[in-house]
Amino acid sequence: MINFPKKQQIIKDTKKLNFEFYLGSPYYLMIFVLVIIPIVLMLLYAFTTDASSLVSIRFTIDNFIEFFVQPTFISSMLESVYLSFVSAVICLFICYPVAFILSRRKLITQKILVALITSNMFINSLLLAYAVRSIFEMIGSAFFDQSRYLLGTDLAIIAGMVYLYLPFMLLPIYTHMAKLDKNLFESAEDLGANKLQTIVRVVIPMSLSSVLTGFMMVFLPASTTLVITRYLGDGQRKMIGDLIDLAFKSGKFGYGAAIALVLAVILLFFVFLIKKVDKYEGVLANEE
Amino acid sequence: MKSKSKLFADVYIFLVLLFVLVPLISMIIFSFNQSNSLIVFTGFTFNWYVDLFTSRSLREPILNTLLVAGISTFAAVILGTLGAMALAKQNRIFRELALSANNIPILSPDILTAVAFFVFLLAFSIERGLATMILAHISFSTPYALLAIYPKVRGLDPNLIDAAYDLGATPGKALWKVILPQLRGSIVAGAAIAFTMSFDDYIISKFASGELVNNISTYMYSQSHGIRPNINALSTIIIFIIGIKVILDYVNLRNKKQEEE
Repeated sequence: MINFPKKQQIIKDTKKLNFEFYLGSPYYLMIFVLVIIPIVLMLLYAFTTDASSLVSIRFTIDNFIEFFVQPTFISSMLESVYLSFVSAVICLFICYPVAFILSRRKLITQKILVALITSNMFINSLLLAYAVRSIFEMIGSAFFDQSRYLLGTDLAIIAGMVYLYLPFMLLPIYTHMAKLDKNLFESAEDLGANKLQTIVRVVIPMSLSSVLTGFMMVFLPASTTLVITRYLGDGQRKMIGDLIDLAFKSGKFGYGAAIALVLAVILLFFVFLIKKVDKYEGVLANEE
Repeated sequence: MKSKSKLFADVYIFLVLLFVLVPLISMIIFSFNQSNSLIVFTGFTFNWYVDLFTSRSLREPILNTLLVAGISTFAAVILGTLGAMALAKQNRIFRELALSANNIPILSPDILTAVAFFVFLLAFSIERGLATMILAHISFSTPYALLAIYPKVRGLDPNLIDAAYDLGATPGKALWKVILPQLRGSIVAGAAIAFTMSFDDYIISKFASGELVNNISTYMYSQSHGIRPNINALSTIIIFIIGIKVILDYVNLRNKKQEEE
């Protein structure tokens, strides 16, 4: 015999379900209006001529053509990619060993050191960039008799980027590394792998997705920064962020939106790559 | 051999710490500098701290920053908590979709969010000002709050909520008396992240606020002669507060560990 739920039960369940839906509706509304709609509008603007209202729009790809034919734009695009790529690689080389070392220390030491190394995350990025700038000015006036000697060089910009975005590389790698099952290392050793082999064959493949996440978290904000080009580039180096800023300042909204869209495509590529590489999820220990 | 590699590791960690801390320390030192310079130390003074609280040009940006960060954190926590509770009960497809949408502002670079929001204001010809700055901050800090709260909501014991209903609690009462108290820790964490994000942001504030309204970031950026030491004084205070928080966490953690032993 089939047990039908009592009528009262059904009413109670639907009431609960409705309640939870209403509960979430302000959040859904916020995401839809303030996140989804702006992105759709940005797409629309990128493919249309600059019109003041939504009624008089015309579709075009001129915005993208303008972007790709001007040599200055291509050069600052390449410059942003080059500087932020190098910075992300340096961040990775600094953070990977740190995460590995920390994940094998006592829990309390881990917490304290991670808090200290990522402490600059809580401070305004303009202040951080300016603090790094004053260090470079000190070095400049001490060794080159001119305080602004080093500003605008690759060294200053990359140092600034590494400094500002180091926590964003460390945190994903460290969190992932701390979750790795320590038994796996032991079994690798039991099966005859030496330390280096354990790292190369076990640790690195399993932490690859967090490395990509960290790489994206450094590369994307670094390549689109306005703050670092102003303070550490001393205004001499123009990067993508400055281009977008300039486009909007001079009222070329569609063009600015087009550049932003190119960025969004790069972002999607990263997300796709991470999803593709992340195949070791099942072996993580202590997963909540 | 083993201690040698441990020594090497210690030195390495120390060097990284040095790299992170040296600019912060220089920032603190120069907040006590007598002259305007951030390069040459001429003498000790507290003048910049006095200046921070009395200067007229700084008052408005500081108040705006606190206002924007305060309101947007409050809104982000409420929206994030409600959203997390609703999402935990939705079916899988809808949930994955909503979480992907939630990740957009977190993953995309600030300038992308800023441009999208700017175009949004433009399309509906909304005038930019403090209100739009607050809206923009809500839109990018809510996803962080949700991500902090959501895992905890999923881990809630459904039996407790059912028990509350069986004992005659209305949904509102169950929420207030049973669910929220269990979420307190993660809500505080979400609030901390949302506040930091709001306080940290420059690009989105700039695009969302127009020329007339400034928070600290846009104010600093607009100073063409660079940053004056009174801003250093401000960040020293912030570093101090965060330092206290880290020490408190450390003490808590140690006490907990001793209890366990």
